[in-house]
Amino acid sequence: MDCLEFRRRLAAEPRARDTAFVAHRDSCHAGCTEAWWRAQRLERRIEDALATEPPAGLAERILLAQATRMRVRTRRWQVGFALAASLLLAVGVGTFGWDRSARADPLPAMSVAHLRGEAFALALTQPVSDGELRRDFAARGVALRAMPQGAVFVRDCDVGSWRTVHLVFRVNNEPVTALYFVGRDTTRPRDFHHAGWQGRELPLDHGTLLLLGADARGFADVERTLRQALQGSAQQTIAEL
Amino acid sequence: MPVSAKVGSRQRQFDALVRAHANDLYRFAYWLCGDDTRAQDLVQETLLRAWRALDSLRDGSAAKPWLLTILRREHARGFERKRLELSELDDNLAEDTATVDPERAGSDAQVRAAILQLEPKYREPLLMQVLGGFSCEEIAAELGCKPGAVMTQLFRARQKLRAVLDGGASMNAKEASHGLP
Repeated sequence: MDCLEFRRRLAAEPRARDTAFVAHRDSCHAGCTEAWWRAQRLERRIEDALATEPPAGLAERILLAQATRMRVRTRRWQVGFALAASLLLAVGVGTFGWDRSARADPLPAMSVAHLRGEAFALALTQPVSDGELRRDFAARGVALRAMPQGAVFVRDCDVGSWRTVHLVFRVNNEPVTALYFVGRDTTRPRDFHHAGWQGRELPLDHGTLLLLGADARGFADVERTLRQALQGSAQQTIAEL
Repeated sequence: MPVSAKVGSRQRQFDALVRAHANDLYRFAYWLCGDDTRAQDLVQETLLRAWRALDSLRDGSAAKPWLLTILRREHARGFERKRLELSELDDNLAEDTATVDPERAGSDAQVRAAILQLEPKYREPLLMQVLGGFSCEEIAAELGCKPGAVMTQLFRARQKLRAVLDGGASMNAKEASHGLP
């Protein structure tokens, strides 16, 4: 480090302590040592001047302000929590009421409501993979014996309190929705019309199959492919026997 | 209860933070804005912001620079809203100091007035260095400029203070031409 570099550094960082700086200070005979002392005195003056006395009780006042804000926020939070709890209760009561009314005639209303919630699936055209089909049925504890053909959407969904596999098939370029209610017994098949949708409810394997479409033309094909997927083909059954 | 234990620990950390750094923060704030009331407000706002962000402080030794950074930003926000007028230099600054050591010339009040007279671009890095203990590199990172520029600002800040303190009379020819100590 030469004198110029030392002086520059001294002007910017008089309290510097690094080895090269200190070594030059201690060895220079061209006035750098004296300059360092002058800089230290100036620095001391600056430090003394900056050391103003803080107002008494500053920390305590800040802690008091913080504690007060905390209390106000806690009260707000409590009020908010009470409101949220009331709202939740109201929603719960409403849902319970809806659930009871839905159970009075459950499947058509619940299924159409669910279909509307996932209406995007009706526009899909690309077939889903066998892996997706196998996975979503397996999520409901159902092992497929064959792959249902023509499915463009599959998802394990809850419809009301029922665990279902939701599928959409394209039959003659029209979407047919199939909801397989696992473990739900249906005594006999029935057709229904609900909210502009044509529907069919029928027993299938260990559950209920509910089909929805603009009309019933594609129902037979979808029922056939799902029956085969769940129960296997006639040849398979015979072979197993 | 675990929840209250966690809150208690956080509160204790905050208490310690306030008691350890409130005074340093006040000094920094005071010299940044030049106003006692505003400085107290700044410190309070800084620490309340720190309370909200306390979980982001992981190293106790980094507390001071962390708080000073919050304070600077808080001040910058306030500065945009209200530009405070800096106090004028006292008339008695012109008193004859030629007979005393330049660094000892003038009272602390004169030094303080001189510091407040510094333009913010010189005063802020000086405060960060002297009160905050920041290095040139750290100041540069905080201010978003190069370390060389910070060194120049620090050099000029001290040069101006020295000029005020010695009234310009004791600067020798070399210092006058190079501005070096």
